[in-house]
Order: sequence, then C-alpha cells, then structure tokens
Amino acid sequence: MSACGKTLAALLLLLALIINAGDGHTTASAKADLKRIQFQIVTVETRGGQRHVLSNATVEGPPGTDFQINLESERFKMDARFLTDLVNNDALQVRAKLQTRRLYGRSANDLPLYEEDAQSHTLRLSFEEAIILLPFGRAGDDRFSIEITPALTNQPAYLATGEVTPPAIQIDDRQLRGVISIQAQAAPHEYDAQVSLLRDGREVARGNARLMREEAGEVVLRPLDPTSAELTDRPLAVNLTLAPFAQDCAADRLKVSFDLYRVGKPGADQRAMIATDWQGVARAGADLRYDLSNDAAGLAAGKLELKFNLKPADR
Amino acid sequence: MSCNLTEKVSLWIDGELAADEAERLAQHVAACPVCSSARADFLRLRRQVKAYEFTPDLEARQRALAQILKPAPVPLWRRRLAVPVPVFAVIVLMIAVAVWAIFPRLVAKPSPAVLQPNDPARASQNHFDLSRFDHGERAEIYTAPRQAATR
Amino acid sequence: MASHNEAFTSVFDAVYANLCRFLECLLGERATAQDIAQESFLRLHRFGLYRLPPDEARFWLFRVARNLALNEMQKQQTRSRLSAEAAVAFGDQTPDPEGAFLRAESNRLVRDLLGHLPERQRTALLLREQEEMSYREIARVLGISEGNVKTDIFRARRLLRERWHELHGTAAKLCER
Repeated sequence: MSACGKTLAALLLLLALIINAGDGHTTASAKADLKRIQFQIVTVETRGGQRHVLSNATVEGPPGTDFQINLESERFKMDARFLTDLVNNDALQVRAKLQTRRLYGRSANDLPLYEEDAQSHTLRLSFEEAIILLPFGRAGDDRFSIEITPALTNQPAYLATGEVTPPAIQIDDRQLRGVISIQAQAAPHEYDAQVSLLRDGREVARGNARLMREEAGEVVLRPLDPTSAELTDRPLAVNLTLAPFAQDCAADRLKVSFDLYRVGKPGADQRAMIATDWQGVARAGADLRYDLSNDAAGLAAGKLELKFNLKPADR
Repeated sequence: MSCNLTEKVSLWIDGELAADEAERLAQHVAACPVCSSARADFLRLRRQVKAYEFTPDLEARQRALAQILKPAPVPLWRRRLAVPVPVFAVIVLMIAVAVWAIFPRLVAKPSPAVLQPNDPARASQNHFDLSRFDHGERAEIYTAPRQAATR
Repeated sequence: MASHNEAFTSVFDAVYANLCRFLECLLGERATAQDIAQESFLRLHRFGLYRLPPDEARFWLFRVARNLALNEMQKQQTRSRLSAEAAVAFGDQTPDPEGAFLRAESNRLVRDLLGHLPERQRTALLLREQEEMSYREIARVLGISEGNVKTDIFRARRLLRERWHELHGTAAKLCER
C-alpha cells in the first residue's frame, strides 16, 4: 500500500470513529465500547503468616460472565457460583451462591452422612477490590482462601459480528489438580417473561415482566376482556423464579418455579393460593404449558391452561 | 355437604366390599355428587402416591447385599483348626526357629520405626489434602481492598 | 448354605427397592431409608429365611423395617442430613436430567403430602397404595385389627384430600365426619 493509500485509510478510520462517537447511544456502539472482564482466581494457603499460592487461574469474558469454582476432596465439597454484572462501567455486582457439603460420619451400616450448607450473598465491588472466599471459615492457623480479583481488559467484549466473545479460562492448578475446577459461561441474566391464561386454547389474560435470573418476581395476569369480572376483581398472578436448569452449562433450558394465586383486594385480605411451588423445565423462546383444569376452581368452566414464554432480555 | 357412605367409598376402591354391597355402593356413587367427587379424589391420590419413583442407588444395593451375605465372623477364641500331625510338627519347628532367630535382636536394641511428619514420600501422594483446613466452620465471603488480597 | 443364600438373594431382589421406597416415603429421607432397609434384610438373614412360612418374608421385612423406622423417628436428629433432592443435585448427571427432575418434583410432592399424616396412617396408606397389600395383610404388618386399618386408611385419605384442596385453593370440603 502506498503512503497516500495509508493516509486515506487512516482518514477514513478517523471519520468512522467520529461518526461512531456521534452515534454513541446506539446499542451497537455501546456494545463495541464494552470491554472484557478478567477475574483472577488465586487459591492461597496462609500458614504462620506466610502465603503459599496453590493455584492461579483467570476467567475472562464479556460483562455478565458467570463462573463456578468447585472444590472436591474426600470429605468436603463446595460449589461456589458467581453471577457477575458490570454496573456503570466501573463497579461490579456479584451474586455469590455457595453450597458446601461435608462428610461428618458414617451410619452403622456404613452409609455416608453429610452436613450441608447453602449461602447467598450479593457483593458490590469496585475494580480496586477483591472478593475473598474462605471455604472453611477463619478457624485454625492454617487457612485456605480463594481470592478473586476483577479487572477490565483492553479486549472488546463483542466481536465485529455482534456476537459476544466467548469466555476463556486459563488455570495453573499443579498443586490442586483434581481438587479444584473452574467453569465459566456468559448466559443471560435477565429474561422477559410472558405468562398467559388460556381458556379452551384462547388467551383470556396476560402479564409481562422482566425477571432477573434466580430472583423471584410477580407477574399479574390482566384480563384481555376488561368486562370479565372474575379476572378483573381479583386477578391471577404468578410468583415466578427462573434458574439455569443445569448449573454447569449455558444451555437454553431454564428451571421454572412458581406459585399461582389470586391477588388480594387492596387493603383487604391476603392472596388466595391456588398452586404452590409448581416447577418445570422450559426452553428459552418455547412455550411451557400447565393444565389448571383440576386446580383453579372458582373460575368459570372450560379447559384452563397457564402458558409461559421466556426470552433472554436484550442487554 | 356430607354423605355418611364416603368411608365405604374408601373400602370400595380397595376391593374390601362384598360383591353385593359393592354393587349397591356403585349405584349410590353414580347418583351422589359427594361420593363421586370423593372417589375421584381418592383415585387421584392413589395415582400420585403410586407414581412415587424410587431408583435404588445401585452401589448401596450391591454393598448391602454383599455385607449381609458376608459370613458372620466367628470370634477367634471359638475357631477350630484341623491340621495333619506332620504339618503341625513343621509349624511348631518353624515357630521355634523364628523365636530363636528374632529373640536376641528384640532384647538387644529396640529401635521403633519413626514416621517423619513431613515425609516427602507421603506428601507426594496425588491429592492435595484439604482436611487440615477443615474445623467444621461455615464458609465465609467478603470484599477487601485488592492490595490486601493478591500479591 | 449356597441354596439358603440363593433363596435369600431372590427375596432381596424382589423386595429391596420397594422396601427402600416405602421407608423413604415414611421417613422423607433417602440415606436413612437405605440404611434401615439394609438392617432389616440383615436381621432376616440372621433370623433365617427358612424359618418363615413361604411368602411370609415380605410381611416380616415390612414389619421389622417399620419398627426400625419408628426407632429412628424417635431419635432426635442433631445434625441435618442430606436430603434426597440434594443427593440428586450433587450426584452424577443422569442420562435424562429433565425427566429425573420432574420425577424428583413429583416425589417431593408425595413426601410433603404424606408428611402431614400421623405415622400409622401414613404406613397403612403406603402399604395399601404402593404395596397393594390387603387390609388383612396390613393388619399383620402393623399388628393391629383390620377395623383399625380400615379407619386409618380412610382418615389418611380424608386428610390428604383436604390438604390437597388446601394446596390448590378450592373450597371443597370433605363430606363425612
């Protein structure tokens, strides 16, 4: 390429950048600005004030990358899940879910007996901070900790095609091989849920809500025909929670849990439960139906169904 | 609304009524909405309870059977030995030789084997041992300035 | 001895899974259920299968297992134990995770419902619905009269029905007291 050609190319690039900057509110350019996030995950043994690094790993992916750290030894098992969200480009919100299981003995007939614990925490941290996880708490002189330090990288979070760059993991676990494992995925955190009540296959009420994964949200079903008194006075509602079906894969299957009830009258009685803790597995974008004919008594006759449609929300 | 024949419905669906009584009850249930609804509910509960699925843990099952069939241990002091006389004589002789060979050493210098706490041969066993950190405490998580954390 | 063991193994194969299911529904907990099932079979083996009349072993096992389960219920558990669901969650991937999940849900509903019944009613109902025992056979397992079995099963059904309707928000009430 000649010098003239190079100058022209540079000018065109500059022009493109200026145009892009002027159009900075579009989703595409906002996406282009997003950088990948890196989490450095270091396991440390501290003995007599001395730190010994046992393993060192990095997880790198677009904002919203989730990761799991699993520890497994003969008597102890920990599944720690981290759902991360970038807030205002300078802070992180991390929802941490810890599950531990400890073998505490064997029964008279040699079957294992376990003690288990589950914790859920929401942490907010800047890029100047780190998360410290102590799987065994603080007791003892010899302490085992996992330190998770986030950083913004210079790598773009999205490819030129608009797709996210998939998460990448590097791990040096020479001393903890077979004990620690790390997985990461970039799965949607927010879903647009549409819930419909069908009578004989025809939609009679509907509700929409945007739901955060693994957090319960209420969806009230408003009648499509406002003259329908039975659904207007005390509308039906579902309290809905979505969770990934399998923790270690980013597949599009979701575990759906919900309660169905009639909303209480304003200032009066409580909600009237119709179904409690119903569960199912839905595929994102596909309909999931429940037959209510035997359960939603009090509604006029006909075959009643509840239909769910769940789609990942646009970020 | 109530009907004093509902308990009979429970017997009926279990096949515990005599044929003529079952027939009379069937006619009653056909006409009585209370009993007919009870019958439908009882049968629905039956389906639900019956559908309870138990897939046995195969490993536990195998182990259970193996442990049960394992011959019951006979206490040592009740065991009997039957050995032909020449074999018995050889054994006695061998024991005598062994005692003669070992006894002077035992008397001379007792040197118990010492296991080094940090024996490298033991440390290099394939899995990192997490149990020394475990004092039964709950896991903990918090944020800290990064300088205090890494490096 | 070999033929004794063969006879015993065939009883074990025929009854073990059902006994575990019965105990899991009774206690709501898998590890203990398997434990007690194993203990019941061990007792049968020590007692001697040959000493029981033919076809009696199944009733004998359910009787012993129920008594062991009663002892277990009386012992206050000091530490939490692994629940059946947790075992599924922590366990290996099953070939059909979706189906396994739905089955686990249905199982949980049954355990929740049964958890509302007094023990004897729960046992009687389980023996009737899952094991398809007659009232006479249930009476032998529980050591009570057939009249009591009849009342227990009816009361269990009535209570579960009410609980069921309560869960599903209908106003239907049971008819007979």
